[in-house]
Amino acid sequence: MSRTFRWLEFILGIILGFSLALLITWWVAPNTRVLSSPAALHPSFRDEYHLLVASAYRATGDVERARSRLLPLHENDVVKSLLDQAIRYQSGQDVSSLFPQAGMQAVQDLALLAQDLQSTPTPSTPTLPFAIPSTVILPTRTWLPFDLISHEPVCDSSASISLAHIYIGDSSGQPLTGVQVIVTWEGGQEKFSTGLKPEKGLGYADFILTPGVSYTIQIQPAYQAFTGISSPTCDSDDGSTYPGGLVLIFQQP
Amino acid sequence: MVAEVYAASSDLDSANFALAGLFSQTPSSIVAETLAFVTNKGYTQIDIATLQLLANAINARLPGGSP
Repeated sequence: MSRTFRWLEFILGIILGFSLALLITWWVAPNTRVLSSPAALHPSFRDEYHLLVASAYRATGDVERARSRLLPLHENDVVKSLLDQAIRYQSGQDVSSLFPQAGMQAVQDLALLAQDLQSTPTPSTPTLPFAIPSTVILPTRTWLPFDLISHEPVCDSSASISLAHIYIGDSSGQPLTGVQVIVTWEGGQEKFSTGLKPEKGLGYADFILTPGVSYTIQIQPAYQAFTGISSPTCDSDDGSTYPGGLVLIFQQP
Repeated sequence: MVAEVYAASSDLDSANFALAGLFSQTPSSIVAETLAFVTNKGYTQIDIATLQLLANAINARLPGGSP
């Protein structure tokens, strides 16, 4: 009997102790919400924060506000962080739990913000009104059409693959990051953005050419498509031939 | 930031989804709370209008909200 009572006392003690702990932590002295710095964010939440800032930047075009929003992260090289994130997304990492549908848009937003943070901040391109009451007008980013101003073969017999090197610039020749490139061929399509290989230039992108395949390249959706692009045939010293690469330069008029 | 994105895209589903992921409160209550905060703190008219736009859209979708 006494043994049973001892067990009951033990269980009762556990229940009472647990209840008392809940009472104290929930009502008597609850943990007050502490404002933590964005610098303390877990890397995955930091990615979310980057993406939120980049998305808002695309919407407003306010680079100074974007910069001030990124400052509390205390990152040594925020441009590199943004580009790294864009590259990870481009490589297939899940984009975001907050913006699961963002996909390519996320890559573009991050690359665009990285580019504009790096360059001298200037007022954004044409302003477009959106559905805000009264006369409020916020700037937004728009892309002008692009011309293919140079299309040159690259013959390098030591290269193991044929690459199409794409360079995209604005009307003054300055490289443009975050420009979407859509490559289509019979039975396939690939989309990517400039700026994902910053070591080769902010306006650079490339893709592998399969010999004998004709490609169509479009710079930004809804603009002119450049058709009939294919790997050139190069002559080697011994008289044989091999597939070469291309350098394609697109520029805004 | 969510309000700014919504103002440009008019994508209310995405805005609601992002707010639900960021905050434990409902989207309507967090937007209302933030709107009150920015109004009291003297934020710009653009910021207030942007938040108001999102608040109006969220409230319009609530049961009993205006269409």
